[in-house]
Amino acid sequence: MSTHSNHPFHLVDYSPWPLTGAIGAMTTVSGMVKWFHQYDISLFVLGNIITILTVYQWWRDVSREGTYQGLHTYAVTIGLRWGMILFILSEVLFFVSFFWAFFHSSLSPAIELGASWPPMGIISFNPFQIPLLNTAILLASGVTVTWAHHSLMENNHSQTTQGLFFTVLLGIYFTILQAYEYIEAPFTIADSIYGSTFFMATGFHGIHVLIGTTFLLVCLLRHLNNHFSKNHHFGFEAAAWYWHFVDVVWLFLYITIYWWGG
Amino acid sequence: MPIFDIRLMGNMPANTAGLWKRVTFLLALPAIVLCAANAFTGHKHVEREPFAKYEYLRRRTKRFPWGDGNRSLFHNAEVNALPEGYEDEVAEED
Repeated sequence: MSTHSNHPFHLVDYSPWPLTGAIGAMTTVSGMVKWFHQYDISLFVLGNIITILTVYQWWRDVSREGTYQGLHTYAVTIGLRWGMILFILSEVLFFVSFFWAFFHSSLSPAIELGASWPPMGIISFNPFQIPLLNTAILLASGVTVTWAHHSLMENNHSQTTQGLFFTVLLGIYFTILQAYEYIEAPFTIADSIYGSTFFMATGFHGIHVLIGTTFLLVCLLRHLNNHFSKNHHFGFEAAAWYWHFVDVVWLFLYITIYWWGG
Repeated sequence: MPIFDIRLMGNMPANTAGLWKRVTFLLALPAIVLCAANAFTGHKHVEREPFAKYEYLRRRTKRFPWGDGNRSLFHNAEVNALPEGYEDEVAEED
């Protein structure tokens, strides 16, 4: 690799990770087919192992390129920003499909359900108890991640650490409460279209909270290893954008599914 | 100046970390404490719904791909009935 580039772009080196990522994804989804039809989880587990090993090493390489090799110039980070925005846009549309299914069923409940929402026989959650607490937790975590971001831009290492730590802690707390709600739920995913749309929407949101919490935890570890500077910390910004997105999805979920639809 | 300049995303006024720290400790965390107190003290035990055999509830078109195939991932025997009824009630009838 030349250290005398006359351009600001990053010409990436050959990498095995796109290939192993494709192999991992194919193995995972084939494993899901095998799991659901043959009740054998082994191929699914193998696919997840391949995928996890790939994403760990791929992002490790990206961190090395950006932090140690100085390859993430200003022009490169613009591309990374567009990439992250487009990814979050695709996630937004992913959730639009679940909200669409929910509104399709809830705005005009079928006569077979008793033409009412929630359907006869479903006891929904009280939105002003644990769901309201979960709303406060996610909104608070939006504040703490913003605190961390501002601290980072002001070169305050310890405040950034505290802000990120609180954010990760709140994400874990949210997940614990949501798991408790799932265990206590009087309905299941198999209980009419109400249960299906509820668990699909809140389940995928819960998975995204786990992913976002992991992302922020990785940023916390990188921060403790002094990977970020006040001007060069896009990995952290991507995690913060993603976390704010997860937060906003929950607000829509809370208002439409827990409150209005409950 | 473009209407939307991606280079400016993420750039925010400096010297505002203190503001967000104060919002965290004076507004956000107290709100969590209040909501937690509300959630865990105001909780009333809800009697479970008597079993009613609606055809749209407890649907089993295929078995679940785990366990005995008849229970959802977060099955709670006390409040989630099986297609033929609550487990303890069915056990009493047997």
